[in-house]
Amino acid sequence: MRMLSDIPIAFLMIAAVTLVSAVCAMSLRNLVHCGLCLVLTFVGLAATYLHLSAEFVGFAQVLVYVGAVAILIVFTILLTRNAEVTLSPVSQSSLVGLGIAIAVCGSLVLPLVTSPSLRRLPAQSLAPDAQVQRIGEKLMAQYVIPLEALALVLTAAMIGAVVIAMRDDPERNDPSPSPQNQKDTGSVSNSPAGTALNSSSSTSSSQRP
Amino acid sequence: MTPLHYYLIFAALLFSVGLAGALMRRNAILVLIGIELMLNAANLNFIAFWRYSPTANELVGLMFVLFSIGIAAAEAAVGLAIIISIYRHHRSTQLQHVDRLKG
Amino acid sequence: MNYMELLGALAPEAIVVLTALVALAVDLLVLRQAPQNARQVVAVSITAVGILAAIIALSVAAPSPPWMDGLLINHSTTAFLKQTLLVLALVAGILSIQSRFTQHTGEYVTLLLLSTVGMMLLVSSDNLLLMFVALELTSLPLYVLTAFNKESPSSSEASLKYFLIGSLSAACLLFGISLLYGLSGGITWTQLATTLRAGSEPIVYLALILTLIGFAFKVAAAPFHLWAPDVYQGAPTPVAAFIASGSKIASFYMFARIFMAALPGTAGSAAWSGATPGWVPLVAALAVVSMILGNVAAIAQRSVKRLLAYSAIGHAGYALLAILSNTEQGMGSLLYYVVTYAVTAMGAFAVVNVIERDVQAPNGESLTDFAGLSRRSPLLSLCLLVFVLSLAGIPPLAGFFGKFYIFIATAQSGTSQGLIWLVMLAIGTSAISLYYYLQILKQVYVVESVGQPTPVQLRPAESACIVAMACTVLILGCAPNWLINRFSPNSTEVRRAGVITKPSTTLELAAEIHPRITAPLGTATGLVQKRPQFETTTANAQ
Repeated sequence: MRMLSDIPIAFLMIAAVTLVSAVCAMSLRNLVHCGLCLVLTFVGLAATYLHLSAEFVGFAQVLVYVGAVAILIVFTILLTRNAEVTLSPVSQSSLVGLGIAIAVCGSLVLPLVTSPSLRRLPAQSLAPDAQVQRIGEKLMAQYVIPLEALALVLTAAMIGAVVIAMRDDPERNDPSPSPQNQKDTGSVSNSPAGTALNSSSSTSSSQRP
Repeated sequence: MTPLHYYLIFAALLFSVGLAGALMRRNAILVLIGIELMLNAANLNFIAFWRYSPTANELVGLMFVLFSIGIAAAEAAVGLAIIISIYRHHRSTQLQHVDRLKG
Repeated sequence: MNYMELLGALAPEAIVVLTALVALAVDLLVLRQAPQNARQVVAVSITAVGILAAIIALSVAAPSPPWMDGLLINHSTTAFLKQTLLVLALVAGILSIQSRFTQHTGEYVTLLLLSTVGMMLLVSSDNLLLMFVALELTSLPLYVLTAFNKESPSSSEASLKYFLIGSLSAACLLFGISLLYGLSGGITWTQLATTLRAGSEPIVYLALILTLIGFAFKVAAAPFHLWAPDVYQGAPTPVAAFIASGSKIASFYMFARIFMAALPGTAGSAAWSGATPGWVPLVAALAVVSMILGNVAAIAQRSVKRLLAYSAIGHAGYALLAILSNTEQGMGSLLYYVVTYAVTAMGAFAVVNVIERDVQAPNGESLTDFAGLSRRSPLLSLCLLVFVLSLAGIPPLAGFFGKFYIFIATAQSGTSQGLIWLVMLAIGTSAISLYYYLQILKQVYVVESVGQPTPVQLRPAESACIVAMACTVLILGCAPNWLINRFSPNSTEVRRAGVITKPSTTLELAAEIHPRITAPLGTATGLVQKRPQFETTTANAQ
């Protein structure tokens, strides 16, 4: 018989809140509500990480996902005027998508439930030593090459996002596209990117050992 | 403590919710949200496996999650910039309106 | 380990990163007022200098043992692949001179080079973490570059499709990797190879499927190819050329290595009678769908870029045959195939780039734009003839030997020629593909152009590139042994260890294998220390 204390109440509560908010984030009509549900999901996951004694990752999750990604998403929703409620009809392809997702869910959960080796408890009941100092040492020694690569990913993402999202020609407000050649307008519009990019190149080069 | 497979089932459900949303919703921003949920599910797997592994002090799974969080942020930034440029051309972020390329 | 040695091992990548930053700084700080054409020439010149330096650095670099518990590995094959990638990036840069798709020349070159660095790290990466980061470093700049033509709605649409499908498959890949990590307890390939066995847990197959989805997307294998035709058509042509060539080489190499070197215990079999579960039958399914769908759908295409995209899907199917053969011979044939295919595809796109500029087509060029090309530019049409016939697999061009080696390797692998049905199918679909390749040549050589044929404007650098690539295809076809011998190992242990080299002596071979097996386990690397060139590096790795 299972004792009441064996039931992981804290875990189940966090998981239920996270999953419900995830479902809401994917199914609500109003996109801003979706974005806010996404924030709740991210916070729930951060709580799960804390529960698993991965404090640093939990706080990184809050900082990066809640503080940056979710806010970025909400900004984009507002910038693209998606805040109005949009009705999208349930098409045939979305039913196919639902079928695929249910199939994936079943084939993921069933082996997890039946597999005996995954029912294990932690190898050590005490939390593993994941001090910030040890994480930093690992990052600068063993994982320094991926760290450099990640710095390059972030540099590329920033350059790319600035180039794509900025408007090339301030005079042109006409959204209708035309394939005409725009060759020599770079002098004016390059300036905002220029200042941002110079700081990016200096940071990434200073990270090189 | 909670057995490992509770966390794995949680992650699998989260992954499936994200996948369902990414495949079903017709709005590019919602597809991106679905993808973020899938990435987070993978992160949860990593942390759970890390905490329950006999060599947890090696911090392998934890490190992977740190890198994956950084990459997800970069991906979101690029994705949202692309969505803004789509909106500039098509005045919409609904995927069914973005269908010039066919064949 | 100290950082100077790390910098030594990563010198080529560091040079390319520096080149990217210098090109960006020069373009934004010095040349802001200069005309577009001058900026492009300067940026590409800087790129050329940097890439030359990196190629030289690669050719003088000694092979290093795996770094830091198998994070990074450098040997002669990775060096050769990196040099090929660098050359392809340079060609993509040269093709973009005088094209009008962007005013952000510095950013264009920077992102192109950062993506190249990602490919170089991908080729060298020896565990799941660096592989994933490098894969993203490869992909993210390519998503952005696809959207670089901001005047064109097709460009941003192609980029959105590429990004959404790409991140979806990256998420699947990451979930698969997390399962692989959980089941094996490690992320280096030695750890994966020693712990994962077929049939132990059903969840292993899910991890395999999810990992496979991620790579099937990267190499555009059906049914994960949906982005490819749109991206090839919508992206600026030099970018599409780089996606079709460089990213193919890096992804296929990593695809083959992760499955052959890290997951040998879960291979299974795709033999016609007696298939067993594992990744080989999954790859076989991808290969069958890709070969049939790619070659059949290409027939209906009117745009040459879309046609090349479907042909690329078919070619991905052939290359998957080499992976599922799961032998060192298959690995050698795969590398020969993807390198020659990349050069050919780059050449074909270069010709398309010229035509596209010539006809001023805003939204991709159609097959009929090639009508009467032989009278307008005999040189260009001769090069196109070489590329197209090589893609079709006509001897004595490189494409023929690529297919030939793959078919041989596939037919010989497995027990009692169980994979021969795949080879038969591949030969059949190759015959279908002749039809649409000949459609291009018919337009070029038979159909008359509308109106007076005017000569096509060719720039010297561009025509030099195109002619050089055509010559490469011809030479590699006439003397295939030079390249295939580079990739063919002579020991089964080499493949098991994931190292493909051509060692000159047995001792050197042992030194190549030895650190891979022993270093991650933490045992003494005594044999390696006897080799003088490894002495300093291993001493620090300990």
